[in-house]
Amino acid sequence: MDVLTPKERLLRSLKKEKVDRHPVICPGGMMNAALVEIMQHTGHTLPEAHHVDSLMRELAYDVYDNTGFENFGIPFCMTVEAEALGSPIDFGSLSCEPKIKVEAYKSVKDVEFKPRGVMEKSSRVAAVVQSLHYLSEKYPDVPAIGSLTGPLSTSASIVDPMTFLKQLRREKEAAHKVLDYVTGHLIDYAQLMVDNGATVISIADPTATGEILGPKMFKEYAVYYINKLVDAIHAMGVPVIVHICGEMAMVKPQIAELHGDAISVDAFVNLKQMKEEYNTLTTMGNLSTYLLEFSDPDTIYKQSKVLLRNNIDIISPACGLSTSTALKNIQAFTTAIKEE
Amino acid sequence: MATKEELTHKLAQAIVDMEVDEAEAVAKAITDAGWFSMDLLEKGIAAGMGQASQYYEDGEYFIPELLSCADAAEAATDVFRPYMQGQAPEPKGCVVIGAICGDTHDIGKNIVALVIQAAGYEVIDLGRDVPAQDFVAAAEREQADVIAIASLMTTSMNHMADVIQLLEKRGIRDRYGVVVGGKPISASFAREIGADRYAASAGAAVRIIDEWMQAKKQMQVAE
Ligand code: B12
Repeated sequence: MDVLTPKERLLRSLKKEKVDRHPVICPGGMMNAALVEIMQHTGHTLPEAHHVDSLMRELAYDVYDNTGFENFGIPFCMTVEAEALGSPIDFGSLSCEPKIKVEAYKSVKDVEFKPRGVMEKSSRVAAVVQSLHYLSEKYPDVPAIGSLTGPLSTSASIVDPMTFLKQLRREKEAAHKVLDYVTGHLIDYAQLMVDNGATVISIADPTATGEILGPKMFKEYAVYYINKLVDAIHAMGVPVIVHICGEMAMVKPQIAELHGDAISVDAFVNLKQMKEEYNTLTTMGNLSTYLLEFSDPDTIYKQSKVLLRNNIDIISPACGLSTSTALKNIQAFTTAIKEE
Repeated sequence: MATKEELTHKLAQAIVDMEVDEAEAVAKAITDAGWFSMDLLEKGIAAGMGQASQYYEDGEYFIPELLSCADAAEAATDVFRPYMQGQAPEPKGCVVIGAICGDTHDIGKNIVALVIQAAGYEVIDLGRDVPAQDFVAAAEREQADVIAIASLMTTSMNHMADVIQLLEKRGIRDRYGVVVGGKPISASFAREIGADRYAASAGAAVRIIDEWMQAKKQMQVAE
């Protein structure tokens, strides 16, 4: 029997305190769980729900209610931040997530530095924070997770990614200036989320994967700016989940330097081993999203139990889900964890 | 003073070392000495980029490094371009590449495009979020040899099959080699949708396209 509420369980897990059983969550944002199957059933659909707070909160509730994930996760994409900072967005469809139409700037040297306060003026930021406010008031026992796109991914969503990546080497000063600027706005956005009831902030930064950056750039940029963001959110009194995508062998030592309360990783990372190597780390993850999409409830159920045996602190999908994942597969996953 | 061989080597090295200004300066030294010849493109620039691509495959270089090498190669090529007039090297073949519709992921595709180009192909890059009919239209327009399609998402990868169906419908499937790649793609998925080949990396893509061109040439000879 559950003794703790989902919110208590997640918060205690993030503090490495004792819990009755493992929490199973999906933070939203990059790790969006608004599956086509759920939306077709409830009629609260994307892409509309990316804009309208009444729909956004209904859809976040539907996801919580149908999947069994023990949290609300908002928003459902990674484009809110870049849109507020000037990039035009293609909002996609029911099954296809929003994407940047074209990055606002060609080079880090072209970026127009918008004054602080632009986040507050964005209508989509408003939809996100109003949804968080509503859900956190109405369901105080369920953690409301505010999802942020990390500093590198946001920067590479406002500056052409290829130019941006090479400028990390060749135009260090200008690149740092852009990252600093972006991180400042992300802090503002996080503050709005926290002020409106976010229980936890989750940062996902796919473009910061070690596969793309390599260890040197990962340390110089990803670790530095993610930590800056995490520290600012900690100062607001809220815990932070940091998700790093992809293969991590080459950046493993740097992972321990991240200030996040939990570190979430992709499926090919051996979390059990990582836990042994860095025993202060709170681990989160990491059921393969390919398994969730292409396998069957039985296999998923069994694999979920492996995560429990390995004592992963917070159980979640390994990365971004496919919107065409079958609901019964997700339910097999959450059921396996909750039965513990 | 350095010999032509030494400068050629220095040029390749500047590219590997990501030294854009140095690559440009060496290229200028070569042209100032009146030593420009077409084989510099192969022995200086392609050799440097080949080594850089190898470092990337080996995990010694990452994307920022590889892109900086490409910039250095570009700077040297710019110096040589006025001297190449009329004798631009015949490309090994023409490759149309893009990331399939629905998909915003294009970093991997861009790397593949860069490495294929460095290996001597003409590359028509259609960008990202490309509808199936645009691949086919570009291939016909450019009289391409190969269509290369990237997908990083399971939700968009099924649209790769649309390209092949469209080619079949137009009765032009056998004109092009179709190569697919990206994280969720596998050799068996490639077979399933009727693509010719799958490549797991940029280096593998070049090897596969080279093979394809070889086979195509032999076919033409046989005919
Ligand atoms: C960086 C990244 C992003 C960046 C992309 C920036 C950009 N401009 O490309 C951003 C932040 C924008 C992003 C957004 C999203 N992402 Co993303 N992202 C990644 C990540 C971490 C790395 C991809 C990458 O660039 N790798 C580096 C390059 C060099 O490697 P590569 O792409 O594999 O390419 C190599 C080979 O595959 C091959 N290759 C590649 N292309 C081709 C083409 C041909 C023809 C050939 C022969 C070979 C070949 O050669 C390359 C070089 O060696 C992957 C996870 C992963 N580890 O792959 C997720 C991933 C692709 N993303 C994912 C998701 C879910 C998303 C979002 C939907 C999130 C959301 N909720 O909105 C959005 C996409 C919206 C949309 N409609 O497209 C999922 C996809 C899941 C699925 N359904 O399949 C992945 C797989 C993460 C996961 N679950 O594990 N993402």
